[in-house]
Amino acid sequence: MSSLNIHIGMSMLLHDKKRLLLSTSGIAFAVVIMFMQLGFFNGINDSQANIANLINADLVVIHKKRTHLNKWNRFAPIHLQQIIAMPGVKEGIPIYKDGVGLKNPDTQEVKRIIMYAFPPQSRPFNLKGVTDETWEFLKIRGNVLFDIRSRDIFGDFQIGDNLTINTKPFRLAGYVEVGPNIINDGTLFSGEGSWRDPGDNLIMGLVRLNDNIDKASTIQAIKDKLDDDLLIMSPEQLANREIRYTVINAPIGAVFGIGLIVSLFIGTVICYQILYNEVTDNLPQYATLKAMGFGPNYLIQTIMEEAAVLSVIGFLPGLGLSFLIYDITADATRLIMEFSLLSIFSIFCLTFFMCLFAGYLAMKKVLKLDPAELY
Amino acid sequence: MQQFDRISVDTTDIIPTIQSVDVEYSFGSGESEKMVLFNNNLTINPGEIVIMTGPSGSGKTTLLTLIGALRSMQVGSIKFIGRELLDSTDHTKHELRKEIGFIFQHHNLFDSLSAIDTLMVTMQLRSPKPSKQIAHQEAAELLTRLGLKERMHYKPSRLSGGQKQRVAIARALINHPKMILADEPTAALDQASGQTVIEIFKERAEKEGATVLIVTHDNRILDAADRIVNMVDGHIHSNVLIKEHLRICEYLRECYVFKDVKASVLNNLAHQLKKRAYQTNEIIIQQGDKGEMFYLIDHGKVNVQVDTEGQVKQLTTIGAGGYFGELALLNEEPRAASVIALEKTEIYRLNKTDFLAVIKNSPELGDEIRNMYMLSG
Repeated sequence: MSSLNIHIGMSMLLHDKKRLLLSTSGIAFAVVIMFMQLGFFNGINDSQANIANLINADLVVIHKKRTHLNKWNRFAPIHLQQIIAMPGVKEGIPIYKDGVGLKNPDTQEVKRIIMYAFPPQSRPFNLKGVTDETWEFLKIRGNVLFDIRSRDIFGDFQIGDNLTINTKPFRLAGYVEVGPNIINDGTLFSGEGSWRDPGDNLIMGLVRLNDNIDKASTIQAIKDKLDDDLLIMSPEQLANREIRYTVINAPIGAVFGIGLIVSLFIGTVICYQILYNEVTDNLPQYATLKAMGFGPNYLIQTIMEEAAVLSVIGFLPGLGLSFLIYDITADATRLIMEFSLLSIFSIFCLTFFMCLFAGYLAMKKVLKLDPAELY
Repeated sequence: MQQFDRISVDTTDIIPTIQSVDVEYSFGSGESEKMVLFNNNLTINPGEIVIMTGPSGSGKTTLLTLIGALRSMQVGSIKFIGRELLDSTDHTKHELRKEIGFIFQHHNLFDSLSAIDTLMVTMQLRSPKPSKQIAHQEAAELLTRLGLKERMHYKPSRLSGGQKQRVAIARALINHPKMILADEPTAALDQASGQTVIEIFKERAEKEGATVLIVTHDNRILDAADRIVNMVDGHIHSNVLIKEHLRICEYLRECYVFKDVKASVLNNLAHQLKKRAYQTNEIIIQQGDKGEMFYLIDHGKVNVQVDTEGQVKQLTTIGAGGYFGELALLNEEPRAASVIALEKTEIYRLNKTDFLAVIKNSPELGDEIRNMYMLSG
């Protein structure tokens, strides 16, 4: 036998279909705004740090003055050679980076694009879309890989097409997927020799360590011998440093961070307005419940139940809509707009607590209600 | 032997449902303070149906909300089944309210709940909670009784005003409260459903000992009342056990001695009667004593007997509604016979002064009675 449980809160939500639709859209709207803010926030940060996240090595060496990845401070390859000579180090990979001009075959306009070069056999980046065959292609002088997610300004290429980079001819050997950021519109990758030669100054040095060694002490030893002008860190540290730099120093991070807070506030207000109206409309009914002997706990339960249900039924369409908008935005901006379980979970938690908080505000009115006013 | 007040029945072993003593209440404070209730003393016993009347603004509703633990007490004492409401905590109030069925002037039904759901929500207050099936069955039965069988799954928007009011009444009754407080419960109802509601009230009072307190101006339901309380300007102006009062008036009218007395005089007379209980074989009047009282039997039986030089002669037996003792008062002579209770008997007594005052006011009556007795004697 089932026990007797009539959910007033639930029934009230479902009773007025028009209001339910409005409420759901209101919450969904707030959810979409929150997702957008979080999406842009993460998208910009992730895109800034995209190359750091792709590094396939244990350590990264950069110039100390290169406080973020869009700076051009290079260092002499000798420093990397010194590190390679140290015990425990398996491999050191020189990375060259330049801003180059790529001619759009359709419009003949030259647009600035980032070119990374490295010894192809070392495979320094985890590049999506790159196969063993593609890596082999890079060994051939004049072959480059083009980031398919680069902005559309560079024109249309087919694999095998000729590209004109800084007036020199190159051949498109394959596509990779990296994505631009707010400063750079696109990226090319080529082998050392096709672009830059050994001995040129490096933008980064990647270091791979031997297995089965005491990594901490090896890293310490490298740090001790490192030139004062250089920094060494793990790729994760580099990515975090980049995100921290963007959040703190670039206004963009702050803009969307504040946007997130504002959208949370808007969501709370919308949700409060919905619950408050519902409560106000049913004030005599709530007073009657009180007069019948229902204690404050029952009333709290009823309104909180309503708030909780509202958060769920508002969140789901909001999430669906956000998927759509993320796709559109990612397409338009080529920024990394990705849902992570964590971000979905965080936004849901924010929505849930936003609704509960609104419920709490609305509830205070009910708890203060004097049933004697009914007569 | 115990002397009973006419307006309060023997209360030695009954805990009254409501016992209010010197209740005062005022709205506002300081300069604008307005006292709306004062000196309110009211005792209501289990099983009583009380109708409260009075002009609007006389404090009926305020008193009702105090009794129902909806309002915090200020001065005085109200005991609900022995539990003091003055200074009671919120928790106590919530607990008390569960034993009270409120019927408000406005039905205040949740738009989203069907009639049967409304009742089942209320049944959640029971401890332990009934199962869904039992709750559903019980709620359906009550709604059927109130003529809402076809509409029990309707939401308020599809019910008429009277139907909504009946749902609200069912909500107040479903948990079988010890006290039902109703503010104009039948105002929105037609004759037939009003009658059903009153029938259920009576049933609850008789079978379950529930107390029903109704604020109403509806004359159609006045005859259901055991007691009528009239409030004027914040205090209880009159408080009459109306059923008993009417019975006495009826008895008095039937008394030959009062046959020509006007109803209004009899009504006043009824107020002056004092009730007293006699045990079996208790002597009520001793032959030869000086006459001080007029007697009217409420219920029970007495024997009238004359002792003539040691020989006891049975004259007659008198039952409910019968009276005796008038002759000694009229003729200023000693009692001509003894009256002995045959069983446990309750008798209303009127003292000589009051009795003679009534007779004196209608001199013909006195003469006629005298003549009658002369002839028959």
